[in-house]
Parts: sequence; structure tokens; C-alpha cells
Amino acid sequence: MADMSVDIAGLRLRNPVLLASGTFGHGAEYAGWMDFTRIGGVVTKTITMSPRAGNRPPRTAETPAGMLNSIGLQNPGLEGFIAEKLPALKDLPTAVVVSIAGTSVEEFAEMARRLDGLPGVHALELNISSPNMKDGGMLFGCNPKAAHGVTAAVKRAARTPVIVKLTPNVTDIAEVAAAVEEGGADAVALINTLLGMAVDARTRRPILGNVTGGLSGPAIKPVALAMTWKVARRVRVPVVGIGGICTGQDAVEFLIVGASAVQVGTATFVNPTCAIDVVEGIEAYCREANVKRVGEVVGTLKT
Amino acid sequence: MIQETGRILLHEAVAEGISLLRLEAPRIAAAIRPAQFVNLRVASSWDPFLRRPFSALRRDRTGGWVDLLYEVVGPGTAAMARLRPGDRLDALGPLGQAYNPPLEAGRVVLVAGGVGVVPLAFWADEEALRRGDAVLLFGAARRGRLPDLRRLAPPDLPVEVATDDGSVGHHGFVTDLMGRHLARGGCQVFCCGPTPMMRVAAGIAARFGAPCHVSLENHMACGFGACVGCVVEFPAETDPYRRFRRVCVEGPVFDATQIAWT
Repeated sequence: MADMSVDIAGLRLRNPVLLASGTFGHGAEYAGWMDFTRIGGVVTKTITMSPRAGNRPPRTAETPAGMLNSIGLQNPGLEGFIAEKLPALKDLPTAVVVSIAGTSVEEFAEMARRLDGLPGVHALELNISSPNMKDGGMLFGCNPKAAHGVTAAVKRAARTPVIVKLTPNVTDIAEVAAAVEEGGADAVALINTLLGMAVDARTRRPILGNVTGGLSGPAIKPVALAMTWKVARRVRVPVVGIGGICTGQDAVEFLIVGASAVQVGTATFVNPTCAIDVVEGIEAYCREANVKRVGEVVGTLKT
Repeated sequence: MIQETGRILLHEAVAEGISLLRLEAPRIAAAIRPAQFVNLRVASSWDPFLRRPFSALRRDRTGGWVDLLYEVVGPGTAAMARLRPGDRLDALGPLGQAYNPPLEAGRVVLVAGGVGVVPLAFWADEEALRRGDAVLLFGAARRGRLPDLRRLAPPDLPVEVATDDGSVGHHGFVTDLMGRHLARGGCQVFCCGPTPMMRVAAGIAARFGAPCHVSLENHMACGFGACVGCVVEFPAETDPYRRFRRVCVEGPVFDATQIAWT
């Protein structure tokens, strides 16, 4: 079998497939159900400094080959996470990436400082790309200068590897990727959800309580592939591809355009063990392509 | 949570737009309890994308099947309606919390609207709420939309029917039937149906001082707690993290006095 291990942001992963933030909770939802020894890692649901209630419902809507969400980062807050969620995560037999979002540069740095070195925290993912956080989130990810500032502050505050998750809701995502690389990011992950909306024509009301939300699922895969390709050509740090991945073949497409690893997100809602299917699909591809290391597939697009 | 590929044993219309689907899924059938649900992958393609949740109506522990009742309301259930006996369905279940075991002495008033009868009928069957201390109040739009109750509910469970057009039973809302029972005191109400009907039922129960539990069916993406989408608000909760609770994990049954009726 091909060597499936990859290095991302100084992390050695057994294979290039992680569970994406917000689709796996903080671990308990899959306890005793998912074989975590089969996947490369998990990214926890984003935590903020203080506990958050999240947005008012309805929070989800189905759309063609995908869905909208406007959860709004419901989470127990940094200290609640450390006390209630981290102990179980610490024992997961896979890499744990903790996703954080702040409302200011200082808050990002403070959260990173607090989490730095805690057992069970193998890397941080900076969520500067949530379309559902009015006082932070995408505000940082839309502006290359702000994105640079957040990344640099977190890098100064913590030695833990830092992955920065980027938003597609920008004019030029490669510009933002270059800025966070300059700020010291060890890797970039993309894409977060696309800003979207659903309307009930009969009542003339938005379906989501928050009016707008983030689009995910197979519907966004072509957008994610194009952005991954653009970013991978621009930066030298590893790129983690995200967006509509449901099968091993989907994942391989991201590797070909330049992603060193991928995250499986919304597909997990439909098939809770989808990430394992994705791993097996990549393994099968490597076998058929007679590839000895999965890394050999990365960035092999023929144009 | 069990993931199981079930085989359809029976699939037939039981009323206008309402069908019964019997799924052979022995592990889920052995485990599922009243008010719990299964989440079905109704399409083999990615569109419609999400699973569809269905409350269990009945099960045969030895035969290994579970009965579901559903109404065609959108593309997912329309795809389901095209399935035939022998077809296979990817099922996740049992999901959610079951009804708490009954119920000290006192009368149990079950208030059902349309396919909302499903968990209540299952519960009445399994918990043997037939000692003459339970009654099922069942509302439908009209006669044609009313399934044959002898096939759904335990035969000795008293049933009172209301229809919007008066074609059978009481002419009016099912909630009109509640007062006569609640006036006797010592009642507990369990309600499942459209949200406006449950809101009215909760109000009536409150006026009579009767505890009332409602079964919610908010839109779900996953059904097993990961997406945090199907939440209901607990307005009195001071911890922000617990202000919104998941219908799929903490529910689907909630105390009607604790939740926000939006």
C-alpha cells in the first residue's frame, strides 16, 4: 500500500484526511462510533473566548446538492472547552486541531496563548472565515492586512502549528493566502462556506433565522477546486483543500490541484463515516496509479 | 446509533398522501423506543442531499422490522414514494431520546395532528397505555387524510377524532377536544403535530395546570448532534451555550413550558 502519511504545518498525519470544523462537534457525537485510527485528524467546532448561544433557528436549509447553515458558532467558550471537551479529545487516537475565532486580534492571540501546549491540542486552525459571526469571522478573512495581523499575533503568542482557514467570499483568495503566509501561517485551509440565502416564495420570508448563511456540500466543490488551485500556485506552505468532498475521487482531485491534505465536512452529516470511505478511496487511487507515496499526487495537474 | 442497510418489506398508501413503509432493519428494530427516529438516505445521488428523519410507528422485535409513516411534502419524500418492496435504504438509528417511562397514576391525553400520531401510537402500544387511563385525540384535515386507526393504534385505546371540515368526528380542531378531558384533573398531555397546533395544545394544557410534552421536528442536517442545526430555544437558560438545545439529541420531546414558541 502507498505511504499515506503527510506533513502539514509541522504535524505528521497518518493520512491526508481530516474532519472539518463544525461537522464533528467536539468529539462526543462520534464517541464509540467512529474509528479515529483510520483518519488523519479532526478539527473541532470553532470555539470563541466566551460561550456563545449561536443564531436563532431555523439554522439549516437544504439546497441543490448541498445545504446552508447559520449556526453562529454555538460553543461553550474557551474555558468551557478546556474543562468539558478537551479531556475526551486528548484521548482520540488521531491529530486534534482546535479551531478558534476571536472578535479582535488580541482575543485571537490570548486564546492561542491559553491553548498552546495543552495536551490534546496538536495545532490551531484560525477561523477568520465564518459568514455567521457578525463581530469577527469573515471580517478578518476578507482583508489581507487584517488576516496578516491576526496570523502574526497568533504566531507570536503560541508555538503550536497554525493553519489559517480562508473564506471564498473575497475578490482574490490568493491575495489573502499570501498575506497569512507572510504573517507566519504554517498552512492554509480553504474554502469555508460561500455566503448564501434561501427564500420561501410563498411566505416571502428567508428560510434561515439569520437570513443569510454559508453554503456547503457537493454544490461548492468546483468553486473550492478552483480556489485551491489558485492558492496552491501562490503560496509555498501546505494547502488543505475543503469543499464538497464526498468520495476518494473528490479528495484526489484536490490533491492534484495542489492540496497536501483535505477536510471532509458536510458529507459527514449524510454519512457519518464518510471520511474513512474517502481515505479508502485515495488508497485505491494510489494503488491503481501505482503511486508509492500519496504526496506524489499533490500538484500534478496537467495543463 | 446504528447504521444499517434496511430492506423495504411493505410500502403502501394508508391515506391521501400518507404512506406506510416497513423496513427490515433488525438491529435498529431491536433498539428503537417510542419517540426515537431513524434518518434515511432516500437518494443514491447527492440530490436531495440530506437524510430524512422519520419517527417510528411500530416495530417487530422478532421479525426485525420497523414501521414508518410519512407524508409526501418535498423532493425527499417524493423520492421515497417511488421506492418499492425489496429496495434498500441506508438507515441511521435509533436517534433522539425516547419518552420517559410513564407516568404515575393519572390520565394520559395524547394529542395528535396528522402523521404526528406516529410516536404517540408507538408509545401507547409499547407502554400499554390501555388501562382505560389513556385517550388519543386525533386531528386531520378531512376524512381522506385520516389513516385507518385500527392499523395504527392499539385496538383498546379510546380514540376521538376531529377534522377541519367535519367530514368525520368533531368539526374543528383536535385541540377543541382537550378541555373535556383535562377538566377532570390529574391529566398529562403528550402532543405531536404541526407547530401551531402544538402551541395551542400547550396553552390549553397550561390553563388546566396539566404537564405537557411536545415532540418537535425542526429541520435537521445530520440527526445525531454534530451540526447543531435543529435547535430549540430555552428562554430561561442563563448559560448561553445551553440556551439552544438540539432536537435530535436532547429531544425530540420537550416540556412545552420550557421552550420558545417561535
